[in-house]
Amino acid sequence: MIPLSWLVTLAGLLFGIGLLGALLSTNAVRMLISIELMLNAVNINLVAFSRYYGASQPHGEIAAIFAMVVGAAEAAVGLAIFVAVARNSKLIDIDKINLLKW
Amino acid sequence: MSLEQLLFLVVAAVIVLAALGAVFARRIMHAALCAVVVFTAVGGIYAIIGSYFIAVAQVLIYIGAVATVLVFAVMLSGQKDIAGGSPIRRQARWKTVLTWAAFVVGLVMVFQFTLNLTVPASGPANAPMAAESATSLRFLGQLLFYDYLLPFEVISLLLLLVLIGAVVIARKESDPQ
Repeated sequence: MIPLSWLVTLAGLLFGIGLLGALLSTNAVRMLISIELMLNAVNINLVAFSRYYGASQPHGEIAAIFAMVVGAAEAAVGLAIFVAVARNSKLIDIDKINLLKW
Repeated sequence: MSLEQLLFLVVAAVIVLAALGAVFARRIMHAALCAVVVFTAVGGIYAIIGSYFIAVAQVLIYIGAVATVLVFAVMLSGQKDIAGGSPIRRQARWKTVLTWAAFVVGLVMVFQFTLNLTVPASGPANAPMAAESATSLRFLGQLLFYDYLLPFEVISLLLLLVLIGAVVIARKESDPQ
């Protein structure tokens, strides 16, 4: 069987890589991709702990399903916003998008 | 080391390498395709630890929906990558260093935490996988449609709102009615 620490370590690595991408990238689409990676890491943790600690009461897997749905919703809205911004200003460099900044 | 653990290590290596590719690939299209590889491999992880329903949901939602939306957005925002090639911002070196330091510290904390974890006797090691997964799916369905019925309905409403909102946002402003 897989040790739980392996799964948590994998999730930590994936979350860290996604965090780096979200903080350091300049392209908005790449930032969204990184956020999806972080969501995946969280889901790995939820499913792993649900699997190892509550076999007959998989509350963690339910939470993972909800997180997946919210992640898909976030991707749809975020990408729609970026398509709209790219249509208006021809670039999606997140350092240059300051339309809402006062 | 059992075959299962070997398989896990291979899939985990694929996940980490593809995630690094998604963050550091020069072309945004390559980054999106690397993300698809990550989503697939994470589904494989779920299958390895025996959460078959989550594995199927991962493939359906992330590869069927999110990956498609990602590729669409890359195409529709149709422009070259930011000039200069490297996807990582160049100004503010100390911020980059700080981010890496925070990443390493967090990873060390995760290691410290997981070394002390013990798995209770009800873990998957003490239950036959194949026989348990069917009943596990039954528990999942009962939880979802009895205990979590209200969140389920709310999240379906959220999905509907998001679909309408995405269409409204991404529509052209000067629509000729």
